[in-house]
Parts: sequence; structure tokens; C-alpha cells
Amino acid sequence: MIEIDPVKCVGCGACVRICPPKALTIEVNEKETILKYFIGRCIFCWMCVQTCPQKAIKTTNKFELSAVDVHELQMELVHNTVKCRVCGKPFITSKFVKEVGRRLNGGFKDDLLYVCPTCRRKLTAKKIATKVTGVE
Amino acid sequence: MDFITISLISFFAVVSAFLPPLLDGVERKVRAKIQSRIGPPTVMQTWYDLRKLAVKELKMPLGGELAVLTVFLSLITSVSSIAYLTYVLITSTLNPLSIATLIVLITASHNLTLLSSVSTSNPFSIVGSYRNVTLLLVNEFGFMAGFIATLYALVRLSTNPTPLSFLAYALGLAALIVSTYVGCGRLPYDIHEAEPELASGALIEFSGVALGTYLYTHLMMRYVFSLLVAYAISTLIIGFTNALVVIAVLALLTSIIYILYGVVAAMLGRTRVDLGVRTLFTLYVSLTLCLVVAWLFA
Amino acid sequence: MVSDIIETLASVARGSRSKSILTKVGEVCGDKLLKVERVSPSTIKVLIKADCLHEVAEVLSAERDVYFRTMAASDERPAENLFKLYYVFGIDSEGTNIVVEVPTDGEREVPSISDVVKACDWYELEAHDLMGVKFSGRFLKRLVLPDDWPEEIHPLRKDITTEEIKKLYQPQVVKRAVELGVEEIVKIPIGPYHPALHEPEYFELYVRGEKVVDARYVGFMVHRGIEKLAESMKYDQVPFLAERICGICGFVHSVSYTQAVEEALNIEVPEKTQYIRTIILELERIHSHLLWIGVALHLLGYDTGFMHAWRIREKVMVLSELLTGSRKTYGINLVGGVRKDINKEKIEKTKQTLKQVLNEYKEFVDVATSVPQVRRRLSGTGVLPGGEARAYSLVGPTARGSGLSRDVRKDYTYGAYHFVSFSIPTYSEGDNLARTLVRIDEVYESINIIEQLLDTIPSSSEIKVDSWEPQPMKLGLGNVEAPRGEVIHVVITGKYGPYRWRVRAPTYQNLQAVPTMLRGVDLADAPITIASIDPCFSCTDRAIKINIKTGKVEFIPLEVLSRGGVR
Repeated sequence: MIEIDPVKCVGCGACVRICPPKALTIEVNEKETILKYFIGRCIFCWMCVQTCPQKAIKTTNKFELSAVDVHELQMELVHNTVKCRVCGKPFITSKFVKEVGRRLNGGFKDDLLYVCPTCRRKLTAKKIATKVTGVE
Repeated sequence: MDFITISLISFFAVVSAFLPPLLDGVERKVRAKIQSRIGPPTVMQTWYDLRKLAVKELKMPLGGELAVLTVFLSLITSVSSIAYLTYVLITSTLNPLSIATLIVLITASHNLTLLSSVSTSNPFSIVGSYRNVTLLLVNEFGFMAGFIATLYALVRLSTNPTPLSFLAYALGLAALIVSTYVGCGRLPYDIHEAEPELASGALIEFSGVALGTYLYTHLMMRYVFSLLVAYAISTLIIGFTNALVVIAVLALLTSIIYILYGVVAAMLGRTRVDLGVRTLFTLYVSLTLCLVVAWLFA
Repeated sequence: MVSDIIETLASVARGSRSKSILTKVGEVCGDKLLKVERVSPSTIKVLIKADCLHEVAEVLSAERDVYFRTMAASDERPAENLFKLYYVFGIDSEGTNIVVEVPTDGEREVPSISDVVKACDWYELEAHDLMGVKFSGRFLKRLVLPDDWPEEIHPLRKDITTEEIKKLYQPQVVKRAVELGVEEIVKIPIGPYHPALHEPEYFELYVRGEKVVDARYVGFMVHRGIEKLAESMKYDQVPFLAERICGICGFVHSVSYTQAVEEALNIEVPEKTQYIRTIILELERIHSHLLWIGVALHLLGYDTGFMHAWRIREKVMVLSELLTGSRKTYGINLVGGVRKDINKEKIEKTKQTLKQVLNEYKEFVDVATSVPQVRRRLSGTGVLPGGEARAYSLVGPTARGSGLSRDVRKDYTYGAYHFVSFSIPTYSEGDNLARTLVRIDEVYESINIIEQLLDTIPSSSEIKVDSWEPQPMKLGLGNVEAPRGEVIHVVITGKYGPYRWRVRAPTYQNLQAVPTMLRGVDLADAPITIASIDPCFSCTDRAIKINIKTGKVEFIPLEVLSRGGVR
């Protein structure tokens, strides 16, 4: 099985997108982003380990994983969800936002970081339009 | 019959009742060695299996009450054949009547086990059983011819040892060995349990005590067959002397033959029912013909 | 116009064989031939109108070195408002694929070619079931879908999603069981089962005495809807799914898939990747053949041989674990590369183990083939003449046991096979012994191939293409010689994952010839004869979502059966 380091994980969902058997799933709601790992589906291919940009997923040698209750095979990692400052929709985790900020080395300002992609596109378009036409 | 003889007979009968599962355990170990496996934990495993089966619940096969009855009947006949055989061997009462009784007892217990799987309602079992019937029809013939010829040749050898009667003995012994081997239901002649998807025998019909009894009877029959061969060989070597020595030698030789049969079986594949019958028939007929020729000249 | 196209035909041809065959195709089609193009070095695509398909099939099947490889039906209505059928024919002597593309609107009937190309029978039925393509001139029946499946629903069409299919169809076993009142008595499932390898399938043998007069196969009991599932997955997820098509030879499927995608998108794979793939493929062949030899000997009652075959196989499994990290379903394949490198240390270890395996195998085979019962029961049973093998377009050891030296590794070379020299064992007797001996000899060849590859493996550590761009609607073929025969995948690419993925496992082709082999054998020899093609039913039954047939067959109370059948 794999172990996800809750400190390193930022909840970006790269592992979820690559996971062939869909053992890793992500659920985003108002308050929380939940990364779910269901061992029952895992095929131990380590694709997530190779993909993880944070190196937060570790391989282990545990393989005797039978359990009486199916819920024992389910593991969850809960992150806080950030809401878009413009439209108010939940979009990514707070840690993910911080990590993006860190990697960009302050290239993005907070007002853009905390905005969801759709709104960001609109904002940028507006900015360019303002620059070109000079009209607010 | 004096007290010593009676106690000897009962002692040997008890040993004979205990030995077959033990020998089977040894055979399983040996076979595992040949196949580069570990095998059962101890040689007592077959006994443990039987003990376990004895306390398991019995599930009656559909329309199989008769089948279960025949299993217990065949247990009785095989126990009595062991007891009677011991009596014959120790008191050396070899006469036509005792030989006939022996043959009747042995074939009866053999055929009763067959009957048990024929009388079930499972079509797969019936296919398997009829295959076995076909094979045994040929084999009983070889067994009787071999058994009688060997015993007769032994009597002749003790009174008038000529090369020709020795030849007759060898031929009879060959027939006896082959037929007892086939009678043991070992490879390549375990056709009734072959291809379990196409045909299956008693093994899938019975459960609990009935299965335990069936297996035990099966092992007893193997033991009886080995005992007969051991007798035919040992008599030639040591003659009829002290009863205790006879028993000791017999028990030892029987065990060796039992294991040898098992080793041979591990090295062979399974024959097809028509091929098996044809091979056996050719073999027995040619052996019998040779015997008759030898007899005519002796 | 016509002469123009024939001229183009000649220019796209790869060699003299394909040139003459294509010219013949051009002649029978006339102006019904719409377009010819070369989609990859070894693949020529011919677009024709449905009317002249039968004539084309006649021309192609008349050639001795041409055989039918696979057929994929694809729903391309979103793009072109058409269904398309891709018939893949292979020219053995030249290693060229001719893909005959036939568009149809889904209403008009396509002429059936199963009368001239015997092997096409199941493909047409499957296209009819799953795509709703109509064929004229043949009897159409349900092959893959269960009997009570709704008439107008074709699950592989693009307008129905997996979720809808799930809602649509619920197995009716429980309802039926209640109707029959079987809940109070003991239920014993009778079939579908396999006499040899214990997989879900069902053979009906018609027997007179102990002789088999005729046989019928009822299959497709474990449809898992893998093709439909893959259409919703991304490119790099599919190899892991593909590997799970088969539990014994899974790697061939993932290699086949990646090769198809690489061919469609023109991805250049590093040489070392080819080497690694080929080594693992051959390793898989060794373990699969050892497994088969063991099972075959077990069926013949020679259990000692079975144990020893599997003991030797164990060494190969441990070796696989060393090289890939897993004993089976290696999971090292991606589009454009592999995930695990083979270094010097591993090369040495592999060579050592192979030497041991070779010695033990030699000893074992000498003993096993000299057991009298094994020889007697293998020779002369389950005979498949070479002509029949050609007519059914058989593949792999089954074809090679009947004297056809058809081997994808040589004919349509891939991977690193062109760097090594090896021979193709062929026997012409066509009986069970011939097929066994082919497999026995192939293990020697495989060990030889791996040793050659390990000697010449490049030392670079480049095993993967860094990035590549998917382009939609490109056609690619990938073939691999699996232990059981040739595996061929047809991929039509999509934006993020395959748009259509057609898998053809070797058993799909070979199984259609089993009734021919069974006719006239003894009942006791039926299991070994069925096993002699090394069947893999789960590979064959990979097409669709439902795994239970009607339930009528599965739960017959034993009481009813024994009364009806015997008394």
C-alpha cells in the first residue's frame, strides 16, 4: 500500500488524475477537500508515487491488507478548501494555493492566487482590455 | 486351533487395520519428495484426516442411501477379508475352498465400493463408475488367473521344484502384481476419478463418516492387494515356518510393496479407458496362454 | 480516375507482393475504391465502398500468404456521421498490413464476408451486437450480449455511457430463482466451467459412446466491458487496464496497446525500451509455456511432471520480480517508454538464473516426454490439418503445430526482435503432440533470445520519451506474438485517451477451430485437446459489461437435473 504524508501533501490531485484503477479519488465541498485512498482498488503500480510533485507519497512493503470491515480499507486526508475571492465557489486547497505562491516566488499576487481559473481568465482579460483601451 | 494362534491372528488383524492409513501417509511423504514438495506434516496425516472426517456431519447424496449402505458393507467385507487372509496365512490352510472364499471376499468388497457410486443419481459419477466397471471386468479376470496360478505353482514348487514350475510361478506372479496394482486404483488406472470435470466417482458423492469409511476401505483394499503379493513372494523365500516370523516378514514386505506401488504411480501418467482395457486384456491373455503352455509341459 | 488510383496503389505499396495484391484489389473495385494511403511504414489503408467488400475479401483470401487478422468496428458519427469497419489483413511474406476501411451509415447492410473468410464469423456477430452494424447474406445471432438484452441498445456506440448501461441492465438471476422456487433446496451451479484450466466457458460435447461426434462452444460469459471502459481513460492509464485482460500473458496486451498508440502518433521509442520490452515479453513466454506444460501434464494424470514444471517456473517468476518489481502484471509499460531500467547487476543475475532454468528444463522435458502415457495420449489426438488452420486464420503455436510457420515476431517484426537471430519451431502433424512440442522448443528459443538481448543491450539510461502530443483520429496497429499466438490491437486515437480500442486476443481466433479438433476424439481426450490451444477465455471475452447470462442455465437444482437427465 502507499502512505500519504499529510504534511507534504497539498491536495493538488495529480495522483488522482494518473491513478489507473481510480483507487485515489478527490472530493471537493464547501469547507473541505478530501483525498480518498481505497486500498481495495489499489493495484500497487506506484504511478502516484512517481507523479506526486511534492514527493508526499511513499511506498511501503505492507501487503497483507485484509480487513473485516470494508471501511478499514478506506483512508482519507482532509484539506481546507479555499473559496474563490471573486465568485465564491470552492476550488482548491489552502495548502495548494500557498505552495503555488511559494513556487512562483511571489510572481502572482494574492488577489490572483485566490481566484479560480475561470474568474482569473476574466480578470486577466479585463486587465489587458484596460491596458489597451485605457478604459476601466 | 490353540490360544496362541488365535491371539496371533487377532494381533495381526489389528495391525493390518492400523497400518494402511499409516502407509498412505508414508506414501504421500515419498511422493512429495519425488515431486519436490514438502508434503503432509507427519506420516500420521491420513489418520488425522480420517479422524476429522469421522466427526464431520454426513450429508446424504440425493437418492444415495443405498450408496452409503454399500460403503459400510464393503468395509465389513474388507475387514473380514483381512482377518480371513491372516487366518489362512498363519494356519496355512491353502485349499480350493479357502482360496475361493478369499477371492469372493476381496472382489465383493471391491465391487461394493463400485456399486456405491453407481447407485447415486449424479450423472457424472455414473460415467466415472462405468469406466471403472469396464476396467475391473478385465482386471478381475487377470487377478483370479494370477492368484490361483501363483498359489498352485507355490504348492507345486514346495513338492516338485522344476524349472518349468518356477516359470509358471513367475508368470502367475507377474499377472498377480499387475492385477493387484490395477486393483489398487493407482495411476495410470485411476480412471474413475480421472478428468473430474467429465466424470467423477465416489469422492464427490460422500461426506463425513461415509467419505471416511470409503477412504479407509479403499486403503484397506490396497493393503490386502499388497499383502497378497507379499505372501506370494515371501512364501517362496522362507517357506512355511514359525508363524511369528511369517507375520513379521509379511508386514515388512507388504509395506515395502505398498510404497513401491506408490512410487511407480508417481512416475506415470493416466491412461485412457479404451487404451487401458486393451493393454490389460492383451497382457492377461498372453500371460494366461503362456501359463497354459507351461502347465501342459510341466 | 481508376487508373490514377491504381497508380497510387503501386506507389504506396511496400514491396512486390503488396503491389500485386493491391493491383488486384484495384481491379475488382474499379471506381468503388475511394482512397489509398500509407498510414505507417507497414500499414496501408484502403478505403472502399461497402458494395465491393465481398469481392475484395475474395481476392485477399485467395492469396496463400494473406490472412485475416482482426476487424474493428468504430462509431465515428461525432466526426463524420458514419460507422466504420476496419478489416485488417496481413501479408505474411512481407510483413505488411492492409486495412480495408468500409464506411456505413448504420442503416444499410454491409455484405458479410464470413463465407470466404471463415475467421470473420465472430467479428461480424460482435460488431452486430455491440455497434449495431447490419450484415447481409448471413445468419445473425447474439454472440456477446445476453439473450434478454434490449434489442436496440448497442453498448459500444458513443451515444450511450457506461453509467447508462449499468442502469439499463440488471441481471435477472435472483428473480428467476424465485420464480423457479429454488430457494428452499440446495443450489448447485452447473457450468459454465472449463474442463482444463477452470475458467468460465461452456462446451457442449455431443458424444456417441466415448467418441465425440460434434462440439459447440458457448462463450462470452465474463464480458468486462474493457473496451468501453478504456474509452473513458487517459492514454497512460490504459496500459494498466490492458495488462489485466489476461492474468497469464498480460504484458503482451500492454505492449500491443502502447505499440498501437506509438504507431498512430509516430512516437519514436528509445532503443533500450524496445530491448526491455522484448526481454520481459520473452520471460513471460517462458513462464506461460511452463505453466501450460504443467497443466497439460496434469490433465494427462502425470502430476509429478506438473509439480516439476511449476517448480522451474517459480524461478522465472522470481526473475520477473527482480526485473519489473512484480511477479505478474508487471505494470512497467507506458506510451513511449517503460518505467524500470535493467542495469548491469540485474543482467548478471538474469543470466545466472536463465542458465539454471535451462539446465533444469532440459532434464525435466527429457523425462516428461518419455513417459509412455503422455506420448500415447498426445500423439494422434485432436488433429487439425494445415488446410483448416489456414482457413481459420489460426495464430501462434496452434498454427505452428499444423505446419504454418506464422510468427509475428518474424513476419511483422517489432521491439528488438530484429537484433537477434532465432528459429521458429514448426511441426506439421497437427496433433496435440505437435502443439506441445512447439511450445517445448519455444522455451529454448526464448531463453536463447533473452541471452542474446542481454549481451547487446544498450548501456544508456534513456528508457522513456519525455513528452508527446496526441492527435485525434489516427489509426494505429500493434501486434505482439503472445505465448498463445498473435495479439493485435487497433487504436483510433482521441484527444486524451483512445477513441476506439479494439483488442483481439489469440484465443478469439483459435477457439473457432476447436470443434474441428474435437470431432472424432475420445471423450477422455477432450480436455487436453481443448487445452492444447492454450485457451484464455477471459482474454476472448473482453468485450462488454455484463457478466451473467440469463440465469436460466446457472441455477438448476441438482434434483431437477438428475431426474430429467438420468431417471
